[in-house]
Amino acid sequence: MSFNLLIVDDSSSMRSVVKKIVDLSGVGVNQLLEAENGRRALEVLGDNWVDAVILDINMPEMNGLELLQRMSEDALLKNIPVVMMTTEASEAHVKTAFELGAKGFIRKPFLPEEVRRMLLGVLGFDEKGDYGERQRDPGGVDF
Amino acid sequence: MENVKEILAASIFEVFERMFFIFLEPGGPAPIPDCEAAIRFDGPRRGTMRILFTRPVARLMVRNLLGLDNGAVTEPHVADCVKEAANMVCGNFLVHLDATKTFTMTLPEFSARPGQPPDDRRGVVSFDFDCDAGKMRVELTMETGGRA
Repeated sequence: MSFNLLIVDDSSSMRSVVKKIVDLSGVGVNQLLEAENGRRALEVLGDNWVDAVILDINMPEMNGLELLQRMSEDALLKNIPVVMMTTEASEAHVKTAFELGAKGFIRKPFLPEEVRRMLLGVLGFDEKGDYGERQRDPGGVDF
Repeated sequence: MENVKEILAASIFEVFERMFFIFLEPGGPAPIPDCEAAIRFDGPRRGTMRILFTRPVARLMVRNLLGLDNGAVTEPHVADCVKEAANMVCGNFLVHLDATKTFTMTLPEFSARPGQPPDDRRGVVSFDFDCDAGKMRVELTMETGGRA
């Protein structure tokens, strides 16, 4: 199983750091795509199948919350899991991001393990790194 | 203001240790810095944060963050890392200052020719630090007022 991931951050350094974390995470990656702002990310999303997005907020041209808004309004994009990764982590920012459909929120500065754990979670891996357990048992509800 | 100083210091240490693996010590006044990044914020409080570096410290940040050899570090790497450091320190500071309030931040701006410190030192909090590679300084200017 391999995935296409999109990293959206205006800092090339942060994109490189996240790429390294993903490389070391054990997640099979088919394509690791990059965009430096929300507008460019929309183009990438239009041209590629993407399984998950890692998204900064404070970016030029189109910020992360604006991109999230646009994705939530698009039938083809609204179900792509998005993990916010940002310094702007006020309660209002976190609330807005989740209301717009974000599946996770990582505050910079982060530990690599936080990114790995969040990424595995949104891609459907359980905490042991097994794929599909979480999807088969959503929330552990006992029927 | 004492509270602001404590929060700022904690925010700086957290960013530099977690992201850049640089362990800072309080230091004496820095020599003339080689570069800086500045970022403005607005919200319940308004202000500007500047982080000023000597070049060896800026290059160490790049090497540690990206895992590069010294010879592979370029000027665009330095500018990007210095801007991201300002972005993270400022965002971290504002969250620790009051996470229930919403602040907006500008995009950080890099300069290889740092400006002079403000003449009027009222409302300015500054810290000088030493690390293995040299010196750096953080200056926070808090203005009165701000968006309600």
